[in-house]
Amino acid sequence: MHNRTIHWLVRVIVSMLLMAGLAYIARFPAGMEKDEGVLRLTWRVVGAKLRYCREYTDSEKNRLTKHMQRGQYCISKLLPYQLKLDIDGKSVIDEEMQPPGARGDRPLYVVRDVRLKPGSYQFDLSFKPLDPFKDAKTPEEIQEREEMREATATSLSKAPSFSTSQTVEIVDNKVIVVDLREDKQEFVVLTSYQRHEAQK
Amino acid sequence: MTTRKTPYYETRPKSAGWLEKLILPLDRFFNRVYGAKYNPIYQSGTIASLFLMMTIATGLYQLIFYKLSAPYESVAGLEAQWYLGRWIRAVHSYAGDGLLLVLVFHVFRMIIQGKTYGPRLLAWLTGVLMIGIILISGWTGIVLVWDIQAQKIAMEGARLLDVMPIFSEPLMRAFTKPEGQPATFFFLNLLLHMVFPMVVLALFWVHTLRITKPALLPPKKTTMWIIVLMVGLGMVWPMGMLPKASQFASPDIVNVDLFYSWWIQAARFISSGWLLVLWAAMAVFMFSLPWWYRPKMHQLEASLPRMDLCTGCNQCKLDCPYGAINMIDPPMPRDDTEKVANVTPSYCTSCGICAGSCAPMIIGPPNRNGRNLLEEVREFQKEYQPGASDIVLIACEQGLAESLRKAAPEGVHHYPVHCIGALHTSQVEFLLRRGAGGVLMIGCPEKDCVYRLGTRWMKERLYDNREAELHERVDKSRVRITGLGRGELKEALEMVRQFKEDINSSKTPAKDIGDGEVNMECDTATGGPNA
Repeated sequence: MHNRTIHWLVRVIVSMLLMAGLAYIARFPAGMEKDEGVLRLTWRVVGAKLRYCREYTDSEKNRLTKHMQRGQYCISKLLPYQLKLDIDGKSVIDEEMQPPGARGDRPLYVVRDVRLKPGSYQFDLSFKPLDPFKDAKTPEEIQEREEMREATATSLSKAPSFSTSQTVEIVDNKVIVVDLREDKQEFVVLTSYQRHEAQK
Repeated sequence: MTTRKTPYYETRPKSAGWLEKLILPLDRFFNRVYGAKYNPIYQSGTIASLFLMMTIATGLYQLIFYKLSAPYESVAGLEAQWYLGRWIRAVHSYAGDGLLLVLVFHVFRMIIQGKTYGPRLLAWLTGVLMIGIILISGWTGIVLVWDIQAQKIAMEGARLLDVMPIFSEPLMRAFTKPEGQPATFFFLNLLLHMVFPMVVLALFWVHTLRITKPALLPPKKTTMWIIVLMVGLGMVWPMGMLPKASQFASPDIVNVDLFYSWWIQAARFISSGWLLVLWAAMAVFMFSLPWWYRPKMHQLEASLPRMDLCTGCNQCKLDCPYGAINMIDPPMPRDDTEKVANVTPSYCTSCGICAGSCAPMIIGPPNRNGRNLLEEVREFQKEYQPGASDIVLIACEQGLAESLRKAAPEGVHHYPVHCIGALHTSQVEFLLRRGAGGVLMIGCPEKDCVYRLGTRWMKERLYDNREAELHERVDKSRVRITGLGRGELKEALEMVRQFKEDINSSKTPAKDIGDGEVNMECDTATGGPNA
């Protein structure tokens, strides 16, 4: 065969191989481990507001400008929550969730994925309000805790608390969504959109 | 073998050599397969713009059929159009992937050639910005399909952004709601997917602002070849449809587009916070590179014209690859010309191509204008006296000069230059008239010239009467020029051997004209070297 023809053929073959490589990388098989399902915890909770107001002390008043002295000293924030998840008696999640936002007054959002092998699992899930001053250490924090003891207790008693114990069947490649219905104060376990619709 | 003792004008940091070693074998391979003219690495910039055009053209067709209320179904409808929609969608996707791939090579090339700082700073920064926007545009495109890959990209992206405490509600929540995504989500993605390419086009204009005659597309043959290959690939291997996204599905194997989704694989091993740090680090690395990746003690010395001697011929302006030269009114009124050359120092890369273009030899970087070059070659000739059986090998310092200096055989006098285009033809004439057997010039491949047009202009000066041309009186069979990549030492040595053989078997006497002196215009006026 003529040299030029061979060269041309080599060009065609190399070009096609390059294209094939491009196409392969464009659909590269990758993903999570095989034989896994997901237990997804996802909800939004406003929880309970902690609000405390009192008159300014004389020294506080003196630090304020005249037009501000008529008002009251107020603290307003949301309670933190404790998220706990035990699966088959083993603790998987145990964390304290502080309300987001600079003033700690934004709702709490939970988005957690727990990957599990297919099978039947007993899970215990709780989402309970916490005393915001339980870790008070400095004199200022302790003083604030004492001052707001009553308001905190009232807020804690009104704050919704959620817990559930259920058995779920984890299926390969499927997601089980655990949502929270704040109005009904209960967790709902969803495995499909239809079921979610039915529970509305 | 002798060599000219020349100061080496370093244009790139030493570490560039390490990077170059990675790409040289591929460079050599492509040169052998396609030839230097069609080497895709050399064409990376223009191929990228071709891919960009292809994605825009094919995207417009898909836009007609896309439905915000049923994204997955509308794309499936396109995929069902075997006669058009299916392969157009595939070409759109492959061209997007190809775009990112060639841009990686383009970036590598620029880093290796040290084209990141000084006058190239604007091009570098806009280029990096374009890559970032193309990435985001690609992600929005993948999300528009709303299959499991789209869901994965969207969720991982949201997880990444949620690390920053800037959203009142975590974005991730938007993808875990059982009721699915609203049409507004797809509208936003579609809008971004259409706006970003327009931004890239605007940036592309800025990117090429400081270069003259920018090539917007590869050579015709390459363009046609790429289009045919892409369409063929789209027909033979269409994209197909992955399962529809669902909040209740977590598929174990997803065929991901690794060009745009490689970082999702990283997300499996490191936390979102670290991934965000990784992205930020990459952005800082790329944007800051021109400030720390540059040769030590390097200063670009801009060209200086002698306005009092400039004839206003305009040739240096035509030849400057970076538009650094403009013609202005002479500072003092002149009878012989209305305009003289002026250099904008911030645009000048100090390549010296203007020195080679100027017949009266009055422009060039400090100590590197035509007169200096002629003086240099005079000294070289005096010291080494290349004879009729010797050849002078003029090689580009940006290319093979260093490798050839170490490897060239006996009877070859090595004369490295900063750029082949920065050589004045009078130097070639001088060497031949003083008895050298031949002059072989090895520059960079035309499409990979570090200073863009050096090799091309030199060829035209030698053979096509481009100013400052090699005079007719010179025996051109004793002059040869070629462009070879840095990985092609073997080919270069073969060319040296062949040229030497041709010269030695030539029957024309080497020294054939006059006394060997070269006439320089304007000499009498200035008291230049020949005066």
